[in-house]
Amino acid sequence: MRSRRFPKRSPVHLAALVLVLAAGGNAQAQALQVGTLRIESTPSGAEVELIGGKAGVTPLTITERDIYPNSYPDARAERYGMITLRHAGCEPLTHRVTLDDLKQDLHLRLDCIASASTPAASRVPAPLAAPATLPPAPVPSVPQRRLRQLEVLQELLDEGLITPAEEQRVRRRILQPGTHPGH
Amino acid sequence: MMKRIHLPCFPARHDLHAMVHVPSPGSGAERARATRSLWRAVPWLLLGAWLAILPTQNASAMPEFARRYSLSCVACHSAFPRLNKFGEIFAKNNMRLPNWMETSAQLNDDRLALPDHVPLAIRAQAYLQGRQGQAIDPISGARQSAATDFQSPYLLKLLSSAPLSKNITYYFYAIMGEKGGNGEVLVEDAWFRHADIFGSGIGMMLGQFSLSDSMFPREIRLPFQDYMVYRMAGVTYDRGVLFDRDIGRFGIDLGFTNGNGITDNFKINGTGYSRPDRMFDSDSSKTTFAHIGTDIGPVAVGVFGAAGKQRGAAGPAGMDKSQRNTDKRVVGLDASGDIGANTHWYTQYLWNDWDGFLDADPTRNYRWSGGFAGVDWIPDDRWAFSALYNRASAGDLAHTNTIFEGIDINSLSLTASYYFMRNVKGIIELNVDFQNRTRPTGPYFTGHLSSENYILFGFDTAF
Repeated sequence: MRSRRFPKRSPVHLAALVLVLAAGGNAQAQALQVGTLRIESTPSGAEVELIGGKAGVTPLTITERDIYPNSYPDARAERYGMITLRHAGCEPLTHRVTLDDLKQDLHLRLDCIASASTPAASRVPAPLAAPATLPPAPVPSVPQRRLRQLEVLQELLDEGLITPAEEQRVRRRILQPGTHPGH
Repeated sequence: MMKRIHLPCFPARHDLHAMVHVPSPGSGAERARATRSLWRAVPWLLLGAWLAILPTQNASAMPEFARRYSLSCVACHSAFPRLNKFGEIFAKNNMRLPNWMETSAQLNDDRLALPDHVPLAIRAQAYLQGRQGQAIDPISGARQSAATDFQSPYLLKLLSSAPLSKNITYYFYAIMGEKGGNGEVLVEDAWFRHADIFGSGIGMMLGQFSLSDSMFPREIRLPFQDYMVYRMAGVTYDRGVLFDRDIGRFGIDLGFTNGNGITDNFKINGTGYSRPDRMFDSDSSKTTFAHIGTDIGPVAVGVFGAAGKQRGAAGPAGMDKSQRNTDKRVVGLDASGDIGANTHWYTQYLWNDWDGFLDADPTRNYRWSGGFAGVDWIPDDRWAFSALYNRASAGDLAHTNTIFEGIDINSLSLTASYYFMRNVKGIIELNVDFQNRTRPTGPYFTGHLSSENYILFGFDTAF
């Protein structure tokens, strides 16, 4: 004779009840913003580009999934985990998001030509703390930046961190006239 | 199978880089039994309510790779432990990012890449399970009914991995106490992998690994229920070597393993006593296996094959290992894909030929087959829902009055995972057993004599 100490109906009934109760908690969970990152810039109003494309302008709050989508086109793989800011009159700025960034707001300073950045900065003032805490950013000339990037590229090649083919590809991109080095 | 990954170029350092029969209420006795059942359910209800109202917390997980590369868990997981596209790329890329050297201790020695901290991580699972199944002794038929178990700890894993050179990465994990097996440490994955043997573009993994990882790695599944056909077919952990290379649109794995077990070295003449290398393959044969995968449109498909030897089965109910080596062959098909951004499906089927497997009739060849299919739906960062269907038929092993009749399975597992944190989840799983119960076909108590419905609650975390 079969012994049945565990009532047959229990698993189904309990599971249904538990799931119903748990689903009730879902509304509370969705009310939270999980893993968000607020991006501010100087000057503000910079266009934010992520791996999924344009996300808006600074100041902007995005989620971790915006930065790290579960899937993406292979052609945009290089933008995974990266944020690029663009603002008229400023050099595009690309930044890799780290855990430290996620713990606090991210404030990025763009390298701008003075005449172009001033109106933008005056329209949307940067947070009060920002000018005092961020050192004034030197604005090297384009050839200087390219030179520095080529130096870094050579270091990466020497350390075996990139292949010669990769080095050649990036070198061509840096030296290509009309491109913005740095992204 | 993981969808075939086309490794992106990392151009520079800054680039990232079972059905339950429900009797209808009838007699007063049945109603009274139903009332008692309800009272018994109170603790479960309280547990469910507690799970539902636990305060939600902000998420910030810090397992080893996240610590090393200062990355959020979200970068590699769609829902822990399931990998997303980038996570699969990371695993395929020798579990490293291009800036791995920067994460090593800076010792001013180009030929030394010591991890700057002991690269350890822990995975821990604890469950509470209510089960309808009975433990039945195949020889005596004695039944043991245990309806509930505190499977806590269920599993405690110590994992470690780090890049050691430009091309070499190691990975291992040891299970300390699984399913109440205290006093034992079990090593499963433990290997070195070289990413580019002799500059050929061929990767080589040497060590202990699961053959089934070429198809669907079991560790990264969301349900508690296993991919049962892998265990039944014996394509899980073994010691061996695995070569891998991408050729055009195809990803190819070719491996060799000991196959039919390792044994003590006492038979060797000479220093057979107190040898340091105590364990050695039990014979010269090796199991050869291969997997070829590619993408056909949005679907990743793969073909798996394995051929080798295994010990036959002997003794009452086939519970003992035979002294004979018998031939076995496995052929598999796998496919997977995504439906939209939040849903992932996968399916696997294996055909098995076990020649002369049973000592009771060593001239007979036994064929059986089985597989599984599943879907994971991850609607947001807090919830993941999974369904896993396991199906296998004992085929020629049916009515052999051996424990191998137990290959029969027909079950559906429904799982809800709630993420308290990125790396801490609570799970509820219901397993419904659709397999009809059978009667013993001979003197031994084998076959599907008891249904195996279960419900399980618990926690799963990695840190």
